[in-house]
Amino acid sequence: MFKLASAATLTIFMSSALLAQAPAAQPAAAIKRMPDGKPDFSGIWQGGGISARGATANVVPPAGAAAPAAGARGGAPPAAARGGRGGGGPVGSQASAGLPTTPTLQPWAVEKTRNLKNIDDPTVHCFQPGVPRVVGMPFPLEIVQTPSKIVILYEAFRSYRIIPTDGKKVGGESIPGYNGDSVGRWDGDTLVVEVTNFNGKIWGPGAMRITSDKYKVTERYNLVGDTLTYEAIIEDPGVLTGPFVYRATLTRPAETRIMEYECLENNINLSSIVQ
Amino acid sequence: MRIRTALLAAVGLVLAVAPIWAHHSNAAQFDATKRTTLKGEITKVEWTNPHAYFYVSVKDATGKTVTWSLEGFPPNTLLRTGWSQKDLKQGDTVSVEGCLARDGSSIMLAREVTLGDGRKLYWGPAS
Repeated sequence: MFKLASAATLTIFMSSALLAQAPAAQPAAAIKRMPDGKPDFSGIWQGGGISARGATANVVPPAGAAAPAAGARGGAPPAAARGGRGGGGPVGSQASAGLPTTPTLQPWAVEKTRNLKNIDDPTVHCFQPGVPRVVGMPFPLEIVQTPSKIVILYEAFRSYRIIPTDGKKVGGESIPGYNGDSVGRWDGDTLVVEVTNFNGKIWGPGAMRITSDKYKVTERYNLVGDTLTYEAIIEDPGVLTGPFVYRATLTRPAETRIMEYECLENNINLSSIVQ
Repeated sequence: MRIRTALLAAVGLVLAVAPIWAHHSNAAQFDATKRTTLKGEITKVEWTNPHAYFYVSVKDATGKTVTWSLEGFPPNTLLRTGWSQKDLKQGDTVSVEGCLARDGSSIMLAREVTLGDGRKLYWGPAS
């Protein structure tokens, strides 16, 4: 009797737990999982850049079949050029429902942005792009996943992040930085990462070219089949009038590995960048 | 179906190429409306970050030899998109199409490179 009651209680408990963790929109069998049952994000991903399309993307098309080359001459929105497009992308989470996909700056920040030039972009000087700009760079990243942490190795700007997934910040005091401090937790099949402790020296995504030390990013990673959807809610009460959301979709590029990207190696011609 | 595939490829390439400007603004440094083709001998190749360069010795209209610097994608991108370091060697003669620097210097944002064996590859973005 006791055994039956216990088993029933356990079943109810497990059912509740499973219900609580059930993904909102994707069947559990559709994604790859780790031995601990969590979605398996490990591997190489890329959000943009010509190399994401495979080797043939760079071959000049033969005469008479020049559509891709002609198309490639088309302009790009400045936001995309800076490694972060606003809007578009995958369908967002409930947390981001109704949020704008472009930033609205406080009046002083509008004025300051007006005077900024491309050479003021930290990445032009080879500083790390920070979160979430680094996600939109035209280089691959590799995710290494363990039961207690996720490590993301970005080829762009030799950037890396170590993200605990148990909801606890690692270590004690840390100096504000370009990538801030990341604390991750699982919300069902969604990895939610809160990133704070930024240094106020990075540019945000899209048209956000100013950040303060109050800059905060809440990231959500989801596996949808073999695609990684990414969402970042950006908050900065020092710069913005309210939060906005940046979204991206990452896919697995053609077979590759993370290679060295030492930006300072040959960063010449800065003096000729006049705007 | 073919047309649809071609269109998708065109759109895909536009989206794929756009963020390659991530490191600096090409539009600030190069004039996409001033395009030319150079032919000359390779004097140096730099598979370096954040941009790869190679240098070509070109005779101008007066017969004077000018060394042009040809900027392109980051080297990792070039390797991933079909280039090999063996494709460009000092002494090879190549033809290069691209856009000129706004400041009139002998720097080009190189786009289409025609190698000695006739192969054509993109060294950098369209503009």
